[in-house]
Amino acid sequence: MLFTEIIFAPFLCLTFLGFYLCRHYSRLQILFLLTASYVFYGWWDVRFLGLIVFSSGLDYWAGHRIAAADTTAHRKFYLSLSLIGNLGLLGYFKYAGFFQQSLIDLLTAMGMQPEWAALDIVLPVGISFYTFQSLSYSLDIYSRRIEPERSLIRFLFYVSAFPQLVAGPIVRAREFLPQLRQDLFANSSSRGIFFVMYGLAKKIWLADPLGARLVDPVFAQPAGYTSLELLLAVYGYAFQIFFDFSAYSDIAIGLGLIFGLTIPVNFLRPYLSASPSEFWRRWHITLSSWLRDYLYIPLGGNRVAPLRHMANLMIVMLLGGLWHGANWMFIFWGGLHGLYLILYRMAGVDSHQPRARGFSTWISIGIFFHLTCLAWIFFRSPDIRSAFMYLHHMFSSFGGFQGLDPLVISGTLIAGVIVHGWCEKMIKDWSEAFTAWPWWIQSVLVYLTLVAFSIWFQSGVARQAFIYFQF
Amino acid sequence: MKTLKVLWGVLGLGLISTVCVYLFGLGRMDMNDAKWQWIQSKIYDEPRQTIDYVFVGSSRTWCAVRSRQLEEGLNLKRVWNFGRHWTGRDMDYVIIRALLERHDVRHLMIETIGQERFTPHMYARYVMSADDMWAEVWYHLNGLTWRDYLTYSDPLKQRLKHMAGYGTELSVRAGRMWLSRVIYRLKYHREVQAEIAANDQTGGFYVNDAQLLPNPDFVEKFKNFKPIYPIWKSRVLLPPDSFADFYLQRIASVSDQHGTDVNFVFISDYASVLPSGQMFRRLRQWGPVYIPNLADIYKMAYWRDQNHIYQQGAVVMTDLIQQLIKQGPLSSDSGKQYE
Repeated sequence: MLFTEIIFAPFLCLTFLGFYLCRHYSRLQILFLLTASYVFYGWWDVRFLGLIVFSSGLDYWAGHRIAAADTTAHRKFYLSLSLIGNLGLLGYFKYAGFFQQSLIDLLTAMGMQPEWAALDIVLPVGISFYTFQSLSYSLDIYSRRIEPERSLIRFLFYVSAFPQLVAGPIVRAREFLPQLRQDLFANSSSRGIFFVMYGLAKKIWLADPLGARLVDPVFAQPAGYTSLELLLAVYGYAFQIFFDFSAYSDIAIGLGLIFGLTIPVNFLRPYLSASPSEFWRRWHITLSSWLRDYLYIPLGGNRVAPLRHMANLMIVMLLGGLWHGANWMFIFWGGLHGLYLILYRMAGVDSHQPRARGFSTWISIGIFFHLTCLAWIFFRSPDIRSAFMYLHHMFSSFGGFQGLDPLVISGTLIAGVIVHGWCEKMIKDWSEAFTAWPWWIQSVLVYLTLVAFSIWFQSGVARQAFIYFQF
Repeated sequence: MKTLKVLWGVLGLGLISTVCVYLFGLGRMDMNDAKWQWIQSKIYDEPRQTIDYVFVGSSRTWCAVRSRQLEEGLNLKRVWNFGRHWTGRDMDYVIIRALLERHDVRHLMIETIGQERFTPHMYARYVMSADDMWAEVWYHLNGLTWRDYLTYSDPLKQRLKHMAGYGTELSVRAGRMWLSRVIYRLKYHREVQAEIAANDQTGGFYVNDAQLLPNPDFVEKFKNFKPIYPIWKSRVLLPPDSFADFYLQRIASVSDQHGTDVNFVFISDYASVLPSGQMFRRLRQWGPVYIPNLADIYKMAYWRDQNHIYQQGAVVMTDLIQQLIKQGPLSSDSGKQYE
């Protein structure tokens, strides 16, 4: 089920109604929310509910065994079971076909003719997100950061909570589970409704039009466009993927607030980053912090020899790229970001300290934004050859607007820049101001926004699935 | 608690909108589509009048039936071509119902393309009346079995999604109609009014051939086509309770209430064969099916693409329809195959 699908509206109303009716019975309330989450996930394909139940059940059991184990060897053993189970699932459903195809390509290049039937495995929606979420629980118990959760229902809901189930943010058990012991209905806030509307507006009015009018046609046939149009399409994609993914995160955060849950922020105006490490503190924050805590630091982080440190950075970024999908382009994209991190560290310009926004910082932001855009070309292109062809046309087909409507494109891009730079900064204040208004003004505003969405849909603008669903 | 109040407030406004749709029969939709606006202006804005023939269908009909030629040839007072973008029996029904409530129509000529699409028309949800929506909801619910609910089947999901779309549409329609009216007035009114006037000149027939350049893919695809004109040999298995039949039945019923004669006319695609016998019998239970002679219209120079005919071809097509009206629906060589 997509948040932008019409069926989500009655689903949300019914779920909130049930949530309200169960407000005096906290266990029943969690059980109800768990059921709603499974209905939400099963809407896509009911068969894959088994996977999420298996993954959560395994970690619930392993978590208790790890905590109860009296020797390090036993603790490691149960942690290994959790890792093998979760990563095995992820590996099979997400990467088996990719590695098989890569092996076939390699053997073919070596002159052999392997006659293996291609694996045709359906990728379960959200598996990368809930697997990492579930895994973090076992890892946190192993490192004694948290105690195992006693209630199976609470744990199952932690892994499958519908607001962030299919595309994050990736929530940690230590942040989420304690909230389930509080009065969720009392914590429910109408700020959530504001965030949901804001997320929907970003998705419907910015991300989808950027994709449909600019990015998709240009990336489909770069030879038919001029350098300017190709450049604008790259900018367009940078904003499209930001608005698309941050919209999902905002809706997730909003839904969390509606149901009395605090879900962590996932984006902080990432294109205002002056360096790669700053970018990764602002972009998909919950994934980058997951990779930092459970991969980069265990590898030794920066407290090792410089060469090893660089290797650590590259390993984390390559795996971060691979997490996005079983495709060499994602690995290449991750590698490119790894390279940026290494080069900036070598040049000594990748400081963790916040800096005042002077002129030189704006230059740095401009430079790094374009480096990010360069990486997005590889992320968006179907293969390396297409990406280089895109770059080739960008630097050879000089000219102005030819196949695109300059007014619509520049208008949408300028709107994108304003929303990214200003609205994202103000959104917290606006949401608080919204909450302070009388309830009936809030209702009218929400209703009018829904009417505006319906006019937009009536005009026939194609809706697109969230980009991060495929990951 | 405030969240609850806000959500109740939104639902309350949605309910008010739904009641308004019921009470005031809100069913107009303003948008940048000149033909659609012309159809609406004819239905809603013109004083009650008698129309001899109204052709209802997709853009095939829009491009193929010359209203003025029929008026002259058959010595009629008024013929309207209500062909619009895309097929959809639900949309045919919505147009026919609104038309018959406000005008006296002698003969309806409903397009058939030899097959029935089961997908709803893209505009239908925005103009369908609330009671028609409920009727369709019951139709969908009746089409589900307990197994669908237990197994979370695709038909269940599709139908629930469709019904949720209707419910949401009703809950915002009043506000949407008002706001889109303002946007339409500010942005498109002048240019669409000019096109409405142009449609008045032709009775709704499409005359902008200059906008329809020959489609190179069409030319390439059919350059070696040898026309044949048989009835479909294969048996087309259609579910008895199909979406299209549901609306055809309602069209027949509403026409019967208003004393209007229902007919179907086969507006062919280029290189398509005649409707199967099974399809023919299905349509004939609601009204005669007019079958123009395919040999006369399968000339490539007449066609812009596989679905749309140029004016030059429309003259021939309209002439064929005129002959069928005079001599009988199956009087052509193609039609005789059904006798």
